[in-house]
Amino acid sequence: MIHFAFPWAFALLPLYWFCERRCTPPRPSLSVANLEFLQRAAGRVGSRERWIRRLVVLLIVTALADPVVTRERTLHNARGYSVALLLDASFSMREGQRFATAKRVLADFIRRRPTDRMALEVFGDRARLAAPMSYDKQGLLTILHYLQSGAAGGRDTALYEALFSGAKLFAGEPRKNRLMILLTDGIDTVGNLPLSAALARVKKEGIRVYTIGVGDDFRRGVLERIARESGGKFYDASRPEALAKIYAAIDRQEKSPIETLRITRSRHYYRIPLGIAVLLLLLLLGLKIRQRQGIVPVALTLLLSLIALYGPSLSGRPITVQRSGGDLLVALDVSRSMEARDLYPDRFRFALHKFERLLTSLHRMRVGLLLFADRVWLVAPPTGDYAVLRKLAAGIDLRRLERGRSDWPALIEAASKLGDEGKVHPLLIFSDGEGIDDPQRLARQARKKRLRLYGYGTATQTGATIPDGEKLLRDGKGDVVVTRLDPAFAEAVRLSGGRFFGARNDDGDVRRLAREIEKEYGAAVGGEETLRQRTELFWVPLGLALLVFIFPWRRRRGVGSA
Amino acid sequence: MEKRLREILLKTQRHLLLERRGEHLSRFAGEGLDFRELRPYTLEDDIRHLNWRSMARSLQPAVNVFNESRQINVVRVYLNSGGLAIGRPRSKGDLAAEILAALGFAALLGEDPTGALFFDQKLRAWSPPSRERFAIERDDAFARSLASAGRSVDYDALIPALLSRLKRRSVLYLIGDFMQPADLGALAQRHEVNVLIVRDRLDEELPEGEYSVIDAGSGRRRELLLDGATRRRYRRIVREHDATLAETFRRRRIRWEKIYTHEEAIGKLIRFTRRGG
Repeated sequence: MIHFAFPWAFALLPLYWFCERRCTPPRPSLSVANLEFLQRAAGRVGSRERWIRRLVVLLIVTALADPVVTRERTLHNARGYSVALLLDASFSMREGQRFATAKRVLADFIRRRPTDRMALEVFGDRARLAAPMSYDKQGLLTILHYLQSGAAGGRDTALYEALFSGAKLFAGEPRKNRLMILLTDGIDTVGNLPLSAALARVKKEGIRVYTIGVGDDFRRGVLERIARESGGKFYDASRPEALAKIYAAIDRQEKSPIETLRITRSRHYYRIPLGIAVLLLLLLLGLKIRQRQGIVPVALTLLLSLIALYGPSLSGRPITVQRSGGDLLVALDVSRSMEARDLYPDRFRFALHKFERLLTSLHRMRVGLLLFADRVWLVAPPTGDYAVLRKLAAGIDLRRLERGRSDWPALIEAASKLGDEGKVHPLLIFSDGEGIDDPQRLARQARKKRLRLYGYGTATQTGATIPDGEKLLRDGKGDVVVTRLDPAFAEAVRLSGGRFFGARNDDGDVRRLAREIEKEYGAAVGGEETLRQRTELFWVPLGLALLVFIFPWRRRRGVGSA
Repeated sequence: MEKRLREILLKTQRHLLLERRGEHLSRFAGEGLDFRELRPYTLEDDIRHLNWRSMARSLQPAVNVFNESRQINVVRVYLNSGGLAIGRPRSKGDLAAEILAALGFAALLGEDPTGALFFDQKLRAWSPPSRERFAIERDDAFARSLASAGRSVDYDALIPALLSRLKRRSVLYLIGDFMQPADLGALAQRHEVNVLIVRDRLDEELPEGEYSVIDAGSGRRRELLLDGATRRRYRRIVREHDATLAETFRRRRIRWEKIYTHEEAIGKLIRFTRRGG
């Protein structure tokens, strides 16, 4: 919405109106025997000039009032708090909707703190990173939404390990305002790490830990100690309903200095009235030149207005802000065949490398990352935080995934859930194409789910064997399996309307691909953008111009009769 | 007598001497010695006035017409309006007063009774025709004390006021700046009307610049910018106004003269009175 930054400037208008009749110095008066003759002679000249003057004043005042369209923006990469959310995901959390409640309350908490960077770690048998430190709350919420209890094994509770590894999440974060919220319903049952070690680590990192005990068999003393020693606070949430209050309390206690994290982007429109004023001033100057009087003030006003029109400003520190375009979903095939070594060092690493190259070539897309084999793993929902994506991609450990033959329809299904409704999203698949039964049906499914497939074939035509430990992977009959690039992959991609790229060692293809995708889907306002908090100074010359214009310069003239 | 008035008197005398002496300020045809013109005889004419010589020459009966030699009233009408204040160093009001006095003296010297009427929206003063010098002095004093600011002449009121006071046919001298349209037809039907327009250069030529312009007649004030074009147009409008005025005067057989504040007024005035007929 357009509004005025300094609406009080309009107070000058009645002042001018008053001044027009009161503060001008008494002009030399001139008696005429018949004013009517003179009025007829003057016609509208005098009043025309007066109206031009009034209009100029109105326009300059409007410009001074600074019509502006502001957009409040939260700087995601501005650092507020760094918050690690540690969520107990052991099976015991299933009891009495504890986990669901915790998730809901946590989501609410995440939404309440838009300026913080947050990470999510779940722990059960072991601690697992669900989302690294990122400002991308949407991604975090998506991950949280899909989180199940038992996501990290559910029989045990690796509480201290979670505490210890949670401290690692803060690497690279500013030491100020580190916060950890630990929610558990039990005690540490793994015992691979003493509490003192975990606590020492947490204290060394300068993290305040808020501990929340849920249910009835958590060990109060331990949680209290963690909180006390780290400078946080312990909350007892024996009933899950109390959780909401606790998060609200933490939210209140740790207020982000939000104002510094918001940036107001203003688009100033003072140039429009000012431009018109300048045109009118030119007209007035022409009149004045013809009258051969009062030229200097008008010329000075014009000059100052032109300076104001040029828009002098003081620029402050530049702030770089990411702006996001459309979503690009990237799926990496992680089936066994991707371990084949016909590409260096193997197909998967090759694909990963290409993915990273892709990230360097992309500028404005939000990228989501999926892994797929016989099931689909969401690594990252679409995010503009490429650093996180790199971190996540680098952390992918194939050995941890139990995987078989690629399930393509499942991939399409999963990918379709990630994008925004109603828009066609590109889905870039790094795969050897193994597992596609019917390219036509796959393309049809993709179209129906509003996905356009882009393919990057990470395999050679020649094919290769698949290593299986020291040996080679063999099929049921005991024959060595050889995988090749499946032409059905390219076919499916082509049918869905996308483009297929063959594996090449130089990275120009990825750059081309990135350019193509951005051209087509990155149309949303975008790019990395350098914001400058500029202090507009146009009002200085403009105010002077107004003063010069209003100031009663006219000298007394000796002609005429009193 | 006041020095200023004495000067006016002397100037009037001098100019009357320069012109022809002993004349009345009248042009009425009637019994008199002052031959005026020959006119073809009509049945109403007195046969005593037949000009036999002319008849012999042209074989047409013609009669002599003489200017009326009887004493007639000379009534000076001072039209007081705000515009009279205009003019530097001598204002139109000063000029009008001077003319008023000079006319009075001229009438006196011609042994005509003279009266004066001061009028703006309403009658300000009326001094009936007399042959007293002090009446002229009194009129002069009154003219000089008369405030002009914010006043204008109401001709519709003036004409009945005059007509009701002038029982006899009189010679009228209307002195004013005549910057407003005026119709004196009703006066001219019965009386001999002469109009003396007093003007200042400023009436016709405005200075350049921004002025708070005051209408002298109504006191209305307007901020106006007088640039070249406006001044040109104003000049044209005043000229047109004067032309219209002259045309109506001509049609009503009203004689008129324009006297500027910077001019030598009395000489021009006397010449005007002499040029009559």
